Amino acid sequence: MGQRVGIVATGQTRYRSKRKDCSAPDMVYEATSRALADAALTLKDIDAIIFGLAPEALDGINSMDKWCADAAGARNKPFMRVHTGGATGSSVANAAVYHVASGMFDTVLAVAMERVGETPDAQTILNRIYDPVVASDFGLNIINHVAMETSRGMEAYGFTEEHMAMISVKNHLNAFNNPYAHLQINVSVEDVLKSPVVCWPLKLLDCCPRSDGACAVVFASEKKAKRMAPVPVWVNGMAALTDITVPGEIRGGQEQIRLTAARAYQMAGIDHPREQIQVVECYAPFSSLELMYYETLGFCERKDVVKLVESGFGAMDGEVPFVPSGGVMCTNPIGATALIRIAEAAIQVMGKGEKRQVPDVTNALATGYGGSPGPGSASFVTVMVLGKK
Amino acid sequence: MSDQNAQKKQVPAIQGWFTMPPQEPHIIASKCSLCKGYFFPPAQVCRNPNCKKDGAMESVMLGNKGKLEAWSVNYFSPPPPYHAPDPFVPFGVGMVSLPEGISITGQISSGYDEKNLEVGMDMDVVIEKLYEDSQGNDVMAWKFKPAHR
Ligand SMILES: [Zn+2]
Repeated sequence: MGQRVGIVATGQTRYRSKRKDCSAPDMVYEATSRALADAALTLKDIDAIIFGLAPEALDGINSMDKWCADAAGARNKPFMRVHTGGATGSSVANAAVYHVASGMFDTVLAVAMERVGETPDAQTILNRIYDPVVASDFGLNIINHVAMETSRGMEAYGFTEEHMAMISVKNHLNAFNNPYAHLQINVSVEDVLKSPVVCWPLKLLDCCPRSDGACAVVFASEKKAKRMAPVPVWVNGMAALTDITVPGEIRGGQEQIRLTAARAYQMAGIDHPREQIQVVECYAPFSSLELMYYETLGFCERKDVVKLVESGFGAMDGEVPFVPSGGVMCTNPIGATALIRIAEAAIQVMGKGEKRQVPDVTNALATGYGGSPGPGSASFVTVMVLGKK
Repeated sequence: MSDQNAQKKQVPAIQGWFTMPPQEPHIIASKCSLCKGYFFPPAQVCRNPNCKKDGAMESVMLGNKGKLEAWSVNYFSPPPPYHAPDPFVPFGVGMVSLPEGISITGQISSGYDEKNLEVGMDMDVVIEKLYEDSQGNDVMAWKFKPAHR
């Protein structure tokens, strides 16, 4: 890595199913101005802007990046849009880090948004992304793909629908502590199990919502970061990995995550994640995916996943809290979702988490996942290790 | 057989990706003569960036007996272009590994759900009706059916 990079500020909007009170640029302005205020910065401090937006068909308007550039403070500054599906937000963060690490820019604003409330049916759009010929015509889609991955996981890890429900209950409970969370609802294991089956074994309450909202994070060079923030959060490790769904090479998301995490850990000098990382903001839009992260991110062996779920390992009072924010299962403005993971992980290191703060965080982990599992299509995984030192 | 049935035709959902009855049911893939890689859907050129790309692509019928690697039952009606029957009928989907080492996803024959599907099951490739088109033809495609071997 070139010059050292730190996070100095974050800003988020309240996430909702539809922000009727404001436009898309207004949401970007809201997140951006809150991020600047977080470290008492002004636009003068920002050298470049990286902007994130996932499939724009979801937003009901073309080239939304052009409409939002001004609200992101891009006038007279370099600006670019990044798009890697669900991983858009973390790819935006990665691009911001590359900008600063290169030494060409000192302070870079990463801002990402989605306005899914503008689309009458997100599945119609996602289906057409999945694969127009082989997949969608045949009734194959992203949800039943994750459901298939889950059926394979249940066989390999030994978890049940009840274990998935326990993850859902934990995340919905955590969301009450996060003032920005979209869904803040009381959910019991029984509620999850009794909610309508979407694609077996995934029930409605095992699945994420779709949200409107924006998130912003300011990255700065070491020298600037130390001056700008009382507790700068250092990007100590990061990795991004692309996989292609090729017949005959069924690695699946789990193997990809394992490999990406290993690279980020190596860079950050993490060799015992369970002892060295105190909080995880993983990208898990479905309960079953979070459960498998326990193993793929190196917190336990495959055979111990069920034991950890049952003992509340990832709960707020557990050994290593997973998604204190309530996670993707409670908030999902697609293009911003993976940046929220990084913002929330940074908030934990800064100690600004208020009701959702995990005690004594020195290292936090954030992941991103996006793309499409349709045949021949690409999927993207990112892992970032943030630290106080 | 009535006249009406005699006119009802079976048409493939996609031409050239699988055999049609009365032929034996097979999914058709491409194999590169240089790197020996398999490609499905069938490819005109090798898609392996490490391959010299001037090799011939051979059309191969994949083995029609495999194992169920992963599965689900879709209980919501997917939006178009999926041709959902009215009323909607849930359908199974599965990923099946074939003898060539290729895994292919597709629907599972009707009548199977979480009560009788299991990872690791023996599966047969079958060519069955996917939906009926506006002319009343049966649109056919590959599906997977639990085998009793
Ligand atoms: Zn080749």
